[in-house]
Amino acid sequence: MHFQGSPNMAEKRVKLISSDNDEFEVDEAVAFESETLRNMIQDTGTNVPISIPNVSSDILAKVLEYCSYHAETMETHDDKPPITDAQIREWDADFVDVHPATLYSLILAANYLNIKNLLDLICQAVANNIRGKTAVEIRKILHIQDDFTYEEEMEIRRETKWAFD
Amino acid sequence: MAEDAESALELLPWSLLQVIISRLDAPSICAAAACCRALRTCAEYALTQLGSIALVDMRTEPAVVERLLAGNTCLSSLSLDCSRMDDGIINSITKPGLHTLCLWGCHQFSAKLLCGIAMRCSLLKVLLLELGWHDDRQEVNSFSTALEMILQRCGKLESLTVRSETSCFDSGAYAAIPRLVASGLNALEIGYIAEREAKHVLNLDEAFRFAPRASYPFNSLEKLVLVLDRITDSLVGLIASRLPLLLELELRDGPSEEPLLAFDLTNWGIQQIGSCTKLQRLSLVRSQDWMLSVSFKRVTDLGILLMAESCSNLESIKFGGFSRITDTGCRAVLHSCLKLHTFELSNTPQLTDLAFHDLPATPLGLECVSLASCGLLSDCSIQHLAFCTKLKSLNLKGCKSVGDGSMKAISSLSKLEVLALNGCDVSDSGLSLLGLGVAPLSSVSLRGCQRVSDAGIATLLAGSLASTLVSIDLSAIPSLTDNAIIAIVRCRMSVLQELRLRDCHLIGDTAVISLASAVLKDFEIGFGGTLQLLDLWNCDGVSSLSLGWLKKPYFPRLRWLGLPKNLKLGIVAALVEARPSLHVFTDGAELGHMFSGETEVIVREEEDELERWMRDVSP
Repeated sequence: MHFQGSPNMAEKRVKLISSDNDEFEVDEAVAFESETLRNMIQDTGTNVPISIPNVSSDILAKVLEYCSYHAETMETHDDKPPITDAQIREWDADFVDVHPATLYSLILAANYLNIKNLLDLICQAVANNIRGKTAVEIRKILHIQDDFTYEEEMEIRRETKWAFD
Repeated sequence: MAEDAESALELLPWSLLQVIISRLDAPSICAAAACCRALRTCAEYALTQLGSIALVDMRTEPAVVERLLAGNTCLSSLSLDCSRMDDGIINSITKPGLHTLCLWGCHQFSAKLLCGIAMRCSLLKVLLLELGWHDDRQEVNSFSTALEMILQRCGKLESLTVRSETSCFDSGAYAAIPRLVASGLNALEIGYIAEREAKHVLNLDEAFRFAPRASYPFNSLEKLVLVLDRITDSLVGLIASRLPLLLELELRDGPSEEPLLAFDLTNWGIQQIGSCTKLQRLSLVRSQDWMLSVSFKRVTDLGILLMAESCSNLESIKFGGFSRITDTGCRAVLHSCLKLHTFELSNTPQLTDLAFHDLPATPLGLECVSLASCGLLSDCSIQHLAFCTKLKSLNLKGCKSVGDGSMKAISSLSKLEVLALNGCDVSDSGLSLLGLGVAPLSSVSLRGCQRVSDAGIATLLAGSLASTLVSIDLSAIPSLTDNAIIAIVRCRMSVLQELRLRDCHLIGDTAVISLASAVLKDFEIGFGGTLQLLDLWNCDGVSSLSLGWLKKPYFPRLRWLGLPKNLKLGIVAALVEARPSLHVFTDGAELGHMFSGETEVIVREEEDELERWMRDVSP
């Protein structure tokens, strides 16, 4: 799989290997969005493929999609109008509009790869999903298992009984 | 991958969960706590780290507040509806680190509350207290001493608001205010306060009367709000000469009898306001709550003209009860104050269409216009007003001659969100024009529009309004029947929160039942949709049968409910008991937010979440 950054930065390419052994090739600028990859590349150079053992292919693809878009927004082109903040926000909103399970994997990946903006974006997306919902709705929307035992459930009700008498 | 159960929220590392939870407000955190173990531990920690908690406009139990505040050491801002609390909560809410403290509805507290604030919250910058009323001399004394203590000890105050129904304090209580103003207090609101005492507070020392202006301690005050027994020339003169830097002045009174010349506002007084050249917002209102005939009878166009000429920086003008202002005065304001965006003129019966006929020629960008009870205005004025394409809010309450002829102009206002047509001469055909228009209305009031019928409501909602209307007032429309409500339900009004149907005698159980069974598919929140306020006062058709449909799980978000008085008390009491956080009124009181006008400190969604959370964990 190939992710294009901007053409004029295309000299240096970086090879990444996901947990299920798929190889990804991206521009250095795209990989540099991740602090972790930046450090690795600075240590080992771009010749050796970098393996990312705890991120699966589909999640890594999503992460790289984010990185290449945002690396692109950093570029200034004379021939194209610059991408506005509103456009970026719209793109980001589309990006996080995925299944909750994908969101959690993305959080973990963004955390491991140390991509601050992505982590920020997804945490905010999950928080927005929780805001203004009841416990039952939150469980449904975020696919959370109710893991309270009967006793704990009773305890929560006892603790919160003050709300009703 | 999507269905992969391994990547679940609760499996995220604690630190990442904490990042997510820390972005939520208190009620949402509580809801999250009831989801699963991981979130619960996380939420318990997050609650201790919250910087700001706002639980207003909802009958919050003291124990809820105690639990939310226990262990929190970071709190800097707290806003609470205290109507169910008393002295027992004082120690919990007076946190030493607080910068902002807003306590509403403190009717059951004694002066100990004020003492507690004085003793523990010395870092306060913003303090708002809404107190009850006291006729007991001894209580007035202790409240006065306690307030004096607050003013002495909280030296960092920037904004002070003390509201009460009657004066709770001696004027001596405010003795420390000049020193506070000198050290940074720039917004002061006191109401109610007697005019005589207000003068005493502002005048303080006879020595200042002859001192040079610059040495007067109130020099730097920017905002002054007073609710008085009467607005007089001498008070206004004092304010105008002593507070030259004032940006915002709001004075309200509601005398129960016609004031004598010596104790009234005249042209002289209103002309004095002109010396506050920086003034941006001016509000002078004589309410007719106590007596219908009182008004500022001694102020004429001349006074307004002279005032408007010197206050050219005014952005907002609210005049209530200036019964002698005519077209000349109104035009003087509109043509001198070119920065005006808010213009309210209520109870001005002599105003005619001539006041606005050359409005399109001015460069004014009016956003908010209220012309309540200006009975001579007709469609012609409204068509001229509609040239202000920035209009967001238009209040035409009691303009009896305004009718269908205005609706086309109004419906073309592409920014208009709030429209009040109470008692206007609108009919169904006017409403259909409104329904077809581009105005993104969120609030419409048709209260008392006699010519409106069921068909008009249906055509009003036929277009895009069904998805934008948050509040709709259909009170006192005599021919309104259950069919109109069924039309509302059919339109799937996705954001409707307030529905007022008081004094609609033909409305009955069918309306309540069809509202209750309206399930919105997008929201999945159960029965009764998004409705938060439902007023059924004097709906004669509503019987005890409806009460069964007002219980849980119907109307899950309902917070305000007005019921007709013919219902059996026992059943109503049972409903109140079953829904403790619901305000139920059977006495015909107007429903709505007690703390209106304070939106800057209120985050309304928050308390809603708490209520839903409470509902959710209830057995």
